[in-house]
Amino acid sequence: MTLNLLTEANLLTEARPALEGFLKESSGARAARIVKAAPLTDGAIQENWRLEIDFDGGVLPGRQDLVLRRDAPTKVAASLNRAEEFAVLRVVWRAGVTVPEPLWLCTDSQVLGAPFFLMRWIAGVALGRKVVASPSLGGDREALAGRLGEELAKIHRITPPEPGLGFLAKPVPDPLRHAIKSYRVFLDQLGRPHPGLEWGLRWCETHAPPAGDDGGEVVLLHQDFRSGNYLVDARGLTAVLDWEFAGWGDPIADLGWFCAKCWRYSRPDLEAGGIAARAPFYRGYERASGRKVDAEAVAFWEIIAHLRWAVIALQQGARTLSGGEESLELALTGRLYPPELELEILHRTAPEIWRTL
Amino acid sequence: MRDDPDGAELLRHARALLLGEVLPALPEDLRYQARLIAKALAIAAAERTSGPGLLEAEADALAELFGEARTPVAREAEAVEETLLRLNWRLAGEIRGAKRDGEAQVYAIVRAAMLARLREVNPNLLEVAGEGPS
Repeated sequence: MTLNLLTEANLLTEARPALEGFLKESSGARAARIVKAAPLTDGAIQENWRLEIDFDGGVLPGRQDLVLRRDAPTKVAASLNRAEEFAVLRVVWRAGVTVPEPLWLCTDSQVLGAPFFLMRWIAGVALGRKVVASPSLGGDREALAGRLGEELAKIHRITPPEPGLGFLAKPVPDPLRHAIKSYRVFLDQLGRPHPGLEWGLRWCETHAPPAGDDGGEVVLLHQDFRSGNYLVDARGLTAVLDWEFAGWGDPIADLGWFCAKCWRYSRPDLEAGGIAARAPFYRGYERASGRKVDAEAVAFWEIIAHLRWAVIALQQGARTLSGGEESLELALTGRLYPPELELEILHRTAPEIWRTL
Repeated sequence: MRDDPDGAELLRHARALLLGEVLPALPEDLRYQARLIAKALAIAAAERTSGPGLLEAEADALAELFGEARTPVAREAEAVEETLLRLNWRLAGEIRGAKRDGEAQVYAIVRAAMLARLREVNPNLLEVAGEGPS
């Protein structure tokens, strides 16, 4: 079967027999029936569907709420495909990270036109703007920040070589310089000059913190761990989501990304993801990881985080230029966010604080 | 010569209509899209309103940095967009090449260009930048 975009109609009609067949076989059920299918709207990149399935016997008997994630027609460079993301999810699930339980992967494009996997559906709100602005979500905010610190520490406990993750790019010896170099390559591909971002990159190149005692530590990174990518309900965290950028690297990068001002939404004063002060987040991370958080190094990596997001936003905008994708959301991303990110980058790299080199 | 109202005015009215009357009547799952459209209209209108002045100022500042006079003859020979591209490429290359480390004049130029772009896409943030509302 060839499908470009899945719709509710074709999931329940032409795609139905193949998908139900796959579900039946994977679960060992006598039969599997799709009761409901609805798109989950948060996927700018992936196609996510919430499915209600009736299983007759098998490993998950009865009515089950599942999520189907399928490769979208277009792919962002550097993101994992569904088979790879499924493998990451399995590894972190086994490591005790709070994620939706991964169930079955289908690499046979005959079934839905592209590879996909199923995981359990979990209740909660992910939208960063909403999570930050609604104190009734996520339970006690300090506790939530501490819990997120602990979750991140659990992810960072996974180190190479990890048998299930052989497809991840090999860790690079100097992740900071590697990042700066790759952002420059991306900027060069955009076809327009960005002296403000070049300024920030050059500052980072010349002000890199010395590697700590554990210099060169390499762990599994989420690489998009921030408000907007975890689910909360009224009591607290229910799941860490969006694993498609996972890779090996320096743990400090994830800490900087989480605390970067650009992910605090309407609460820039709450420096841990717009939900709490840094202290409870750092405490949770330190408690669970046994590492001491180097606050100065985190501050440095927050500048890198702004640079990275600016480059990604520009890339997303570029995808919509003539002949590319038709997406106002991506087009606006390319136009709206870079100046705001540059504002923060320049604010933190003023001439007064350049070290004499 | 065109009649009034101009394109910026039309976009302003289109946005007011969209946000005031269309959006409230939309189902919840389409409101986000309507807001995206309103944002696009606002940016397009702001571009038209700010006119060529901002770009000219950026080009002048860059020309001064590189010791190029933007005389009337020079202005005629090269459109402002081309000047901006050429000089911003040069500046970007020099910053990357470690020739402009910590230079206050360069910082002032890139910051002014950033604020000009911010003014068009997100004027609310200018206050945060200590530049006041436009």
